[in-house]
Amino acid sequence: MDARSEILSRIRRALHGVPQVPLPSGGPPPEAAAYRAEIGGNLVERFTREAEGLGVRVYRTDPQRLLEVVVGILRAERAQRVGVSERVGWMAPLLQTKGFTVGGADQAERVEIGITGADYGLAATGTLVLLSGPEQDRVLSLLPPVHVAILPEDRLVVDLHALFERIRPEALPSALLLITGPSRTADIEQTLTPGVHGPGIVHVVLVR
Amino acid sequence: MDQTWQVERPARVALFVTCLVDQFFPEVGEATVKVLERVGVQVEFPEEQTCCGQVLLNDGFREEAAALARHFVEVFEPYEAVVAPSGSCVAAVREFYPQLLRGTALEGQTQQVAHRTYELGEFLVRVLGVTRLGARLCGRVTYHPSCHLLRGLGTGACAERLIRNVEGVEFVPLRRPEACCGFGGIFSVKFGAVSEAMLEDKLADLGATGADVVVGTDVSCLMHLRGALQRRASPVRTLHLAELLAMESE
Amino acid sequence: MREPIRFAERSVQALEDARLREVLRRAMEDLRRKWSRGASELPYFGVLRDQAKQIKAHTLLHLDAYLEQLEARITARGGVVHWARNGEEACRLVVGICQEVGARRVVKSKSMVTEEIELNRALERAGIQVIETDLGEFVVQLDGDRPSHLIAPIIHKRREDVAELFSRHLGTPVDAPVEVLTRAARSHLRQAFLTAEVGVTGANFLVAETGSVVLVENEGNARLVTTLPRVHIAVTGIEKVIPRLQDLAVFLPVLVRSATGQKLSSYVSVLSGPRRGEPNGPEAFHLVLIDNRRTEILRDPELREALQCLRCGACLNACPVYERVGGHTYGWVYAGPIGAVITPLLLGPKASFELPYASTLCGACREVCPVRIDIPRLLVSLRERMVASGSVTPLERWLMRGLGWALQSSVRYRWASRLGRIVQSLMWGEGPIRWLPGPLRSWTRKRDFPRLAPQTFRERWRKRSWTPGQRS
Repeated sequence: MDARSEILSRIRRALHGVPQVPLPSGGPPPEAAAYRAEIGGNLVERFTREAEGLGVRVYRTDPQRLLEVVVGILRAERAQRVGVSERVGWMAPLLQTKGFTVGGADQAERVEIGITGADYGLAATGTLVLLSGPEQDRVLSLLPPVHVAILPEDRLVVDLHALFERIRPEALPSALLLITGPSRTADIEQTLTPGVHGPGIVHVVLVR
Repeated sequence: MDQTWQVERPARVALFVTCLVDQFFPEVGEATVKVLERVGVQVEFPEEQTCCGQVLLNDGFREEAAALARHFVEVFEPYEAVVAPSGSCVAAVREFYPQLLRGTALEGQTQQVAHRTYELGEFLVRVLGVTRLGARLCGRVTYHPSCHLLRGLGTGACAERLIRNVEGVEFVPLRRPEACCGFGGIFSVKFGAVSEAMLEDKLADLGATGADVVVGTDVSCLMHLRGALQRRASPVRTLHLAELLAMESE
Repeated sequence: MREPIRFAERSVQALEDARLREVLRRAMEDLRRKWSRGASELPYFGVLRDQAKQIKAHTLLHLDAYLEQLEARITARGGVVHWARNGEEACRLVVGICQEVGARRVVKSKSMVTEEIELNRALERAGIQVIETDLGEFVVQLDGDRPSHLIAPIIHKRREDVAELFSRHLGTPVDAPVEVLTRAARSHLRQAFLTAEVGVTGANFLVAETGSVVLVENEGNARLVTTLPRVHIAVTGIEKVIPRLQDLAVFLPVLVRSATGQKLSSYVSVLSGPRRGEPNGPEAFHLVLIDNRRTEILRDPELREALQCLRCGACLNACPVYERVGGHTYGWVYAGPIGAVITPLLLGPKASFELPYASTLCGACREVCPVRIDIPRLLVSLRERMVASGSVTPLERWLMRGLGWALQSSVRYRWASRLGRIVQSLMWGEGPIRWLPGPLRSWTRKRDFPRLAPQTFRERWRKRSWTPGQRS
């Protein structure tokens, strides 16, 4: 018998005649209602507070001033080489005219800042949600030491429950990434240190 | 197990004195009787009782523990309520007897007896609604809740309330009251070094309170603490909850 | 034949290491504080734990169906699922996949199950270089050491130890601060990520509904391991599967809050197959599902609950025994309360007969477990099996059976009581008991043993030698 058949048959024999335990229905428990409603009424404020609590810098702007805000971040970080994800690709030529050296995902290892979009934001935890795809790479939010994420405000939802209500399982891409704050470790004597493997500095620009 | 707290106060209770109290600390048994009589409960002592069997149960001797469980149920079945000066014994009865005797002829009776068995502190506070007994002790007092009372029965706060209400008591909590004292029955002998290390830290916390007296609900924990305190000729006393509550107002 | 793990002996050594004890004490107190914060901040945390427990219990009872669903989804998305009955089969499969793609170098993110099956050794024997990328595991690998905690592998090490190690291997200053050490590890390992052909991970969860592998981390190395190399191999036990994507909304908070007190870890990757028309990601995805005696545990209704473990480490942090002796004392991959359950189940009683007894059954572990595993009850079940299979010493069996016999009848009890007093008088006279014989002597090293009272309570009750209302 091959391993697969043997393992499955062992499982079936192990469970033969065992009484059933029902699967709890999905969705947030009723006890969470008040807590979640409070967040739901204050998505931007809550997201900002949670993200800032993790050391993330959060900005709020409108589409007309978005480029200006991004340039401000780049200048504050004293960056020259910038990687721009396809999703926000319209920024690339504009940043070039401002004097930055701009590349795409293939330059991720060589740039100082990676600029990406974001598909959702989770207010309860200050989390960015990135769904991989032809226009959303996995590396510009990972390899450079600084990550700038552009998140439309209307993509803020309460929490993971709200996120999974909106994502159809069949439509799941090869990578769904939840990013909550900078990369960090406390492995050495419980001392919190940012920027171990992923970006140590994260900026989020909320666009109205 | 979900404990149902009786609303009616039982007029008579059977005392389950526990083997450790019977053999080593009879004064704790006497104090328990005194305390119960003081709050108007008549105490009976079924002489056929022996031991709850938790040592056997915890060490994996299930059959032998089941035999003792059967004996317990047979002895205490006739009584409205059973009170014991021990959180760990009551936890053994309430949490384990029903599963030990499931599928046997005694299954139903075991459930009933288990529901009606109480540790002294929880009996006073939860069943009788008594939190003050007119006891008196002057001095600094701290409280060590036994793990089984705290986590098994979940009623560790009852004893604390009773202690705080004793006149003259200056209550100082332990730094980490929920930390295990390191006895654990046979563990104290099989893994003596670890047991000693846990006891050491508990004694350090005790010392830090400056308390003259440490009160507990289980003589197992108390004898563990006392054993070390005595070896070091420490002036700190160990007192069982019953003994504290039995102390008279002048 | 594996050497039995002598927990008592090892614990004595560990206790003598004052440095280790101090490091552990501080770390555990810190993690316990974080647990409290994480648990109390969410008002419905208890409800989530109940849900998590129920979902896991349900899943285990339908494990075959969920594994089949998982396999079908992964295959539909272009991944390959392999099944391994035991560790050797799993290692052969992983080595085989690496050899097929001509891999010379593998980067790994932390996985307890790969330690369980000793995967690194198998890869190295096949001439493939393995590089651990989790900072703690990287340190452990450099040092030839073993991890001592489920999620904090070098909790037993001080900064100075790591600094000294890095100065030898990476050329950093001898007493470098944590930031310098971290940066050195980052740049050293970055090269490995960029050049490895294969990335190997474990899996925190497998989602049956979508065929996904879920990786929970703070550093970002798991992301790098699953993004840069051409091939991703996830190695995991069969018990890691959960039914639906939305169940992550329950499991992620309970796992992360229980492990570190955070609301969410820095990165959670939900990976469903190789890349599809994307600029980066692996071209091939393999999942290796390992049994390795898990189906045996599944068969046992009393022990099945052990398979619900999320490997969060909360029980280690709460355990007074672990706090004092550290993870290496447990002698194998899994430490702490859950280790005392899993190691005997996976290695068998002969190799680990002391472990189920290395607990006072205080219940601190059960209080913090995100899926409410009743670890004390599991330990007692293991002890019962030891007794039933005749694995306890004759002396202990004789003593316990004798005790049980004496206590069953009140007549025998009273005789035993009288006998006890005769023995006490003969051996200890009237004074304090400062020594006990044989195996009991470790009690009296630092403690006096109480004396049997001159009269038992029942004797005094009979004689009513006190009156109500008077102190005795």
